[in-house]
Amino acid sequence: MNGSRTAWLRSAAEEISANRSRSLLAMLSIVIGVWSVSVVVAAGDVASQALVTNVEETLGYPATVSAAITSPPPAWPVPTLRTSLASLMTRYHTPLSSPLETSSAHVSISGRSARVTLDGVTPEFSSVQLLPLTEGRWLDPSDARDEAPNIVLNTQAVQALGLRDGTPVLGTVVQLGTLQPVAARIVGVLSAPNQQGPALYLPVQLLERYGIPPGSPAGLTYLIRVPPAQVDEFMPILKSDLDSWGLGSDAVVERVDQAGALTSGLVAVQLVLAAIAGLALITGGIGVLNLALLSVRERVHEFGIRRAFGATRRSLFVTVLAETVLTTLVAGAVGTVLAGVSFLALPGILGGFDGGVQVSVAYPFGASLLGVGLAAVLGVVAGVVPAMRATRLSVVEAIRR
Amino acid sequence: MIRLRDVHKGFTVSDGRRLEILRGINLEVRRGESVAILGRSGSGKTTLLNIIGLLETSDSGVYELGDRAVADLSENELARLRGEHFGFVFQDYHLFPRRSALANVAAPLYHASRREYRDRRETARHLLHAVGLEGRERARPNVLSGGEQQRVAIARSLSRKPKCILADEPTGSLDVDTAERVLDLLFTIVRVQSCALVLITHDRDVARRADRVFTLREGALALTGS
Repeated sequence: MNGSRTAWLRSAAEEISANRSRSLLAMLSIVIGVWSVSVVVAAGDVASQALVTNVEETLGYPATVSAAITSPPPAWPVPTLRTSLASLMTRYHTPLSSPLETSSAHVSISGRSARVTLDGVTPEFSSVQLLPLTEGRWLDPSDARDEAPNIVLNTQAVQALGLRDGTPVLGTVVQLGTLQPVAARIVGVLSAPNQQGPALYLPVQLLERYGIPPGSPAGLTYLIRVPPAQVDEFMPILKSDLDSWGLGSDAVVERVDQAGALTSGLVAVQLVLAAIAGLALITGGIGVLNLALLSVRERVHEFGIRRAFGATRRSLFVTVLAETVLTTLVAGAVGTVLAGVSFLALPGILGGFDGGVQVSVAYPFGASLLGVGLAAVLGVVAGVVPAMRATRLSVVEAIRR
Repeated sequence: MIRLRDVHKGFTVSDGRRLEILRGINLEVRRGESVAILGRSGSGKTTLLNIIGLLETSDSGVYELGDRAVADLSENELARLRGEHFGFVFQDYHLFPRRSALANVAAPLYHASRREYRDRRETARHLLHAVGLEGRERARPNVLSGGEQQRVAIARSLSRKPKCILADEPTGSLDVDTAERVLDLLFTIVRVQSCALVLITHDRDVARRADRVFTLREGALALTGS
């Protein structure tokens, strides 16, 4: 086109408009293909994040190593074991670690009581596991020294104690235990997956201070967060040190966060789905190629006339190519918008399957770019052959057809 | 403006024989002049028109358009000259079937200068008005009569203000009355716009309206009337 840089684009748009039915048919297959690819990528991102969030809330951040010592020998009472493990962690330079000692007790307030799980932890526990606070704060070192200890409940415990009936939760004092109840003040509330029952977190030292009996079996779990790249090196060292303490088979060292393994499985499923979606897109591209070839065959005569008006081979090539690229780009954009709309419904759907983990994921623009990019590439691929055909004939041959 | 000297053109047919269609054509067409070329079917009239319109090249001889010899020009250069110098009117109109009359007339302006492209709608509307098709801008070729379609084709040939209109049997598909009106229009426009006209026909009455009449017989061109 000599007239304007936009003349070829306008000419392509007019041709698409003049052949609405054919163009819409070509676009439909691309829309479905781009929608499929975008939704699969977006769904994969959402599912992956939901899975990771779930794992981080229940098992720990990557990489979390658990040293579980069940039924420790008499030489290693739990408080001694805890202190020794804390010293070991200092020696390892792994500050992101916390004991997790589980028991249970009755908690009561204003004549209402519920049996809850007691998790004795240190403030560093929040660096090991994802603790989604809905209000208040997490435990800090001062909470262990307080006469009336500060505690954190999960939302199930709050509901079990009927604390949502018009009273503020934070600052409320509850009674721990029944024989010699201890007054404890709520400083934070955690959301928790549905399957988790009522739970209460308190500084681990208080379990002994207030005579709360150990759980069954009595023992201790120590959770340590280490850089994922060092976890394979770390675990044998820890196990070796515990063995040297004579704990032997009583100490089980294992990696407890499985996010990596689970998400790699998800990636495999995602790749299979993406391949299927990609096939849908390629099928759409073949449809566009087919229609473009048909269109060129029908319009050979028109191209001859245009060249009689002064159109060059190059300008015709660009115009035909622009038609397919524009068709696929518009279809790609529509497919992406539809994928975006579908995406809005995804967290709700996935939330229903994963037990209520709250997922807040921004729309993966990578998926959107992928969709539009693939559409553009398809447009070029599907356009080159017809464009070359359009320019191959001589002017007179083309006019005679 | 158009000068052909000793132009030859031939084709090789399926059995390998060489057919000489044009044998030493000499022709000069001046600006504002109308020239008719008579001849039987297959005499080479359209081939000669195609060579004049730069749609195909001659085998030998000299073709000068203005002060330029066109023999060694590149395809892009030929396309540019074709667009700037010639407007084509065909026997079967050759309109784009899915486009409106307005879009058909504006079509050549996509290959013109930036200014011509920008003003394409206005130009097309003006030309349709000039050929008596005001109010038919949005009509597609399938709803236009043969005479109306040829008038759209004439308007289209004028859209780039050509220096010469090349008309190949422009009334060949029209009834006598319609053909008469289309020819009136064509000759009037040529006179008003002072551009040249090369008209291919096999009808002596049509040819007689031109300033000069040539007859193409056995590959040679002879002046037979003026």
